[in-house]
Amino acid sequence: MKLDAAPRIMIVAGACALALIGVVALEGAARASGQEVLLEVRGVDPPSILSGHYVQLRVSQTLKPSDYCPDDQPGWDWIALRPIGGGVYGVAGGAHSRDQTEQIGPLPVKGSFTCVPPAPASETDPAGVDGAIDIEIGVDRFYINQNEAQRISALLNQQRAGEAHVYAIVSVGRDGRARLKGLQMDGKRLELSWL
Amino acid sequence: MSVRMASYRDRVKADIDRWIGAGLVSADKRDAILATLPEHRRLDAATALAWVGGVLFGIAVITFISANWDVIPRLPRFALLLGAFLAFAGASAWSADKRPILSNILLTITALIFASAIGLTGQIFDIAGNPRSASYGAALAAFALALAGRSTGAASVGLVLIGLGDFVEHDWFVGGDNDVPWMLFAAPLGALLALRWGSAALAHLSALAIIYCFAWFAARSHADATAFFLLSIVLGVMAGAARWLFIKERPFAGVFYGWFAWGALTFFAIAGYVPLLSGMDSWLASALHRVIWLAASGALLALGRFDRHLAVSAIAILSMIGAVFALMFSLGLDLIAAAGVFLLCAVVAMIAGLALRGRTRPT
Repeated sequence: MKLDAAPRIMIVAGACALALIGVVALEGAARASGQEVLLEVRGVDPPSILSGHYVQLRVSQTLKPSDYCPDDQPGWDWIALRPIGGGVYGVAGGAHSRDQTEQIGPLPVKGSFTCVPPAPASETDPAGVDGAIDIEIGVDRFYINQNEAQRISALLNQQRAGEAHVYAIVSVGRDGRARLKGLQMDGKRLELSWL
Repeated sequence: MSVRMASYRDRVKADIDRWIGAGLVSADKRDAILATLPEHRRLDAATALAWVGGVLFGIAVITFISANWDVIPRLPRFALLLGAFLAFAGASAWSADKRPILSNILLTITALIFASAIGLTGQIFDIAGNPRSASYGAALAAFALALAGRSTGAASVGLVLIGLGDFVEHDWFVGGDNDVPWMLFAAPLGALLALRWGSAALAHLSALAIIYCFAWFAARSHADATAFFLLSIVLGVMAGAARWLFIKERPFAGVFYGWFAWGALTFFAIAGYVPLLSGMDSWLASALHRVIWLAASGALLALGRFDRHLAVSAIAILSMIGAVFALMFSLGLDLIAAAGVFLLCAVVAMIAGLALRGRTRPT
């Protein structure tokens, strides 16, 4: 049976539209069913000039001078997360596979991290210097309308001075992927809604 | 890159007028003879403007949907995006039989809208996807639409998207990636479609895409001269095959002939500037390379003139200029030596020209 061009085009276009709807539905379901965690975030400096409708984020865990960097090897693409208090999670370590990661921490997530070690207290710096773990889990921007984007950017700047607390609300699915659900700013949740 | 079919009818027309003038053909046969030759379809200004306008309209639709963040909520925005995509696909389907050029333009816009729909859907629902997968997915959709509606524009969009997907998050051209670029499969498909559907734009794009694949092979060889020489020879053979199709008057084969000839000469030229096999990286080897480059350019110029392929002739002349400068440089600006080499090349060129003239002279 030979199909004319018109029905062929509509069949292909329909399949493409269904595929796109399928991706949205599956991603939505995975986001809803995953385990929710809070991760500390910082603003990206300098902010993007074109960031009118999104906020650039950097998932970054602060390490106190008494803390230490978790083990890290090049090529590790799984991170073990563990609760560090108040519903907030931090990095327990990294590994090559999900199975290995589960032995390090309770929640495995696909990604990698780099650690800047803290400096302990010394004679020249009695308070010590904080370190940081930069976490790459594919969460690097939050799409939002321009007014909200500007408000969040301002809060992220205040966070740098220790006057605000901004966290990413992340859903970790069974597939190990992290999906952004929203932001928590000074205890208030700003979640994605479909409407 | 000129196409022989484009000028064939005009050349016959001029010949018939000459034959009529000489009394060899009767004047009343002129129109009947010309009617047996196909009229070559050129892209007229109105059609070109329709293409530009159509693509700009598609971009306007995409920009409108992506810009209205505060006004339209997420789900309606997604519905609007899908609606625009399906509306353009429907319009293309509706015009497929009656207005094939309009259908082609509309399907090109449909492919562009779907490509941006993938990105915009990711933004609308904050879906962190893989940029490479997004480009490849959009490219597959564009090729599927192209095959469904015989759209050269959508196929061109597909080729460009495959190229984007190949480059996103890859280090191929510094030899740091082992994945195979999708263009290895897409470029031959594009070339096949260009020849089957007779599309100049698609022919140019797919010829460039094939040369891009050769560049990928060259990058994987970590700048090895032998690999460049081999790739140059392969491209030369492909240029020969395209020339054969060109002589058979296959529409747009001349495009491939021109680009492959350019690619072969370019790869050959580069081969002389990357480290050669150990022990051969000498002044003599460099000079020999430049002389062969010059001779090959001269041969291509003769071939381009013989085939009446303007682009091939132009490529050969530019290549000759490059080869002359390279030879001068490698001879250390020793003018006596340079004069000797150029004299030798001139003698060879004249002998070759005389030989060709002898072969083509009517008996």
